[in-house]
Amino acid sequence: MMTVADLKRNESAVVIRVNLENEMKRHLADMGVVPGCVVVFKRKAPFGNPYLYKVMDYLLSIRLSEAEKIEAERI
Amino acid sequence: MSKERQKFKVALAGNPNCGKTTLFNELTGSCHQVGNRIGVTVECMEGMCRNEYCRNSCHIQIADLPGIYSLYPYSAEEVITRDYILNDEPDVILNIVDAANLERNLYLTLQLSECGVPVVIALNMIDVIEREGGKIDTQKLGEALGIPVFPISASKGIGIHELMAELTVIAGEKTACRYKVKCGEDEDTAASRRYAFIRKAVSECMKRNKTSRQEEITGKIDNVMTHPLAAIPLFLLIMFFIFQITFGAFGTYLSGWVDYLFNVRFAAVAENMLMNLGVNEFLKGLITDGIIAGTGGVVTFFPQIMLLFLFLSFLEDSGYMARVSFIMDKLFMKFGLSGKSFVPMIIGFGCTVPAVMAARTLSSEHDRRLTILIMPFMSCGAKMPVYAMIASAVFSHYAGFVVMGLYVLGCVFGIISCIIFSKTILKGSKPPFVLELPPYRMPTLKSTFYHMWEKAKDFMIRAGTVLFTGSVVIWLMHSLGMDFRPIGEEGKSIIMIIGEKIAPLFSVCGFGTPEAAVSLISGIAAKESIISTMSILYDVKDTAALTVELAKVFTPLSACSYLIFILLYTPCIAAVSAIKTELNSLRLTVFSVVYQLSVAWAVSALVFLIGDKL
Repeated sequence: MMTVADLKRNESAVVIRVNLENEMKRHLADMGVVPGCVVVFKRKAPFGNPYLYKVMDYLLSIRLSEAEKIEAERI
Repeated sequence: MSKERQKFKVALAGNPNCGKTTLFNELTGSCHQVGNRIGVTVECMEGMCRNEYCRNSCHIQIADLPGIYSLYPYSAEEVITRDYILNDEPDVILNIVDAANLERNLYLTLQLSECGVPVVIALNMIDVIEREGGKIDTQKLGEALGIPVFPISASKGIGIHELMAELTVIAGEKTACRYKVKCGEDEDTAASRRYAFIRKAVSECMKRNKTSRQEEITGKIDNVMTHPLAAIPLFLLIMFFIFQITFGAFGTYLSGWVDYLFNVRFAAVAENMLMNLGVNEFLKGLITDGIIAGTGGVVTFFPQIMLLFLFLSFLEDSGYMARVSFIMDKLFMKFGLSGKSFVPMIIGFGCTVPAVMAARTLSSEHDRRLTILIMPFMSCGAKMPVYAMIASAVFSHYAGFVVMGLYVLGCVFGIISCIIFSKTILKGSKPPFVLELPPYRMPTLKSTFYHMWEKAKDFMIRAGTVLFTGSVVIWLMHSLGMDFRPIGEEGKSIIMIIGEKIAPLFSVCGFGTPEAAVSLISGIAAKESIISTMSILYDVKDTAALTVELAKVFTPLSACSYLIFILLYTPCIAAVSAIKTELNSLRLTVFSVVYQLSVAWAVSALVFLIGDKL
């Protein structure tokens, strides 16, 4: 099962499922991370966490612990 | 014809970072004030629309609501926005949308339109899109959404007349829009549906290039600013630069000027005036030595506070502060917080009052409270002259190291307290970290000054009220005896009596003199007072004489424990009042005060006892 955490720099993927509990899932949905959306992995923070993605037209940072629960497929 | 003007209430809502405040300022000019909401800590600005933007027959009141991503609220700010829209019955919602970030911005738009209140979209920064060769058909977009769309540039003042003209028509007619909520739908499905709808609408109405120049530039800057090796050193360099200007030569120069104008010239004028009016000695003393001298120390601090806020506002508006939270998150996770708490703490090194207010942006209440509770450990700027004075008197060449050590110790205790609190009284779920990193922008002078002023204003109001009262009380305690009558030459003031009573408590800490105790009490009004009170008690006229006196009274060890006590004990009453307001809990505030006092006492006693044995 591939997640957005597995992407390399500037690789794109389309989100298939968000395997997080309700509160977090909704929080991410408000920010545009829903099944069907495209994300591009941009970089990691200097200490290795959190991760930065391009979602729609903007940059969103989330922790690795959340990123590895977002199933996606490379495009 | 009826002369009565129609009144409209407009709610200005939108995502963070989309120019909402710029639009608000443009619409209201300078006539706005903080709206009053009972029982809430977050404010919303309300203002009357300028005449040039309203048709002559109406009054338009605009509420600038905090920026939100969706109507489901996570932070205190988001609750405000939602509650205003649902409870305050605005006539129309002016939704400001960032054209460069259209899809995400429209998510909130759809939710707003589901509320049943008419919505009008102000599509901002359309000039940025066009500059990069893109194009948005606003007419078509409006039709697809069922909501009228008006292109504007808030910072350049373009398109606003047309927007407001139509807004007043819509507000008058109360036409609700076509987008309706589907019943019985769960949130997941609703979110996907909204985004699918948005994607379709935007793809039909907008043409743009694959990547924009703004994106490229932001990426390049981020390569440097978030570089694994360079990020922290760059950050420290920037902070050093800011603190050097604020608390170094330039800042102290400005402070010196204010000091002269307020404590010398104004004080002299006041004194003369009071003498000429024949005001009695006691009242004269209250005004000159109590109020003016008491607030004087903090007033001289104003230019430095303003400078600090100016720099911090600039960094915030440029987009850099979000990067700082991004960088620091992993470290902060280790003690139960998130990277978002870092920025308020940086402010805390300047002044605790705006720092605890800055914690409002934290998305969980638990996070916010935790951050506020450990804020006193970040040594505020007012403590700096106190440290400097005592350290240089006792340690001369090593003063710099001592002061730096104090700052580090403060942070250490902050971290320890944070870990303890998050495991005991503030047990909670791990704070989520979901943060937008806005594109780097060059802040305009106007917006930077506006943000600086917002931060400084609360500080000044608190200084004017809480500090004023505190200074009066402390002065009265200095001037009245136990019989509540002015003391003569021989009499003992209330504060001296209290000082003598509690001094023995501090003997185990190594500074059991009444003077030390009394100075600490006055430090509760304002930290700068510690020095001025000592000057009074040791009867010295200037800093040189005070330095000599301090070197006599304190040994290196007792100076250490005294400084540590000052570092750790309760912050000034202005800070405590800000903490009480933000925590909205008397219980927690009392806990905070007692905790700080206990830790200060315990640690300084420990340091003295251990040091004595060595």
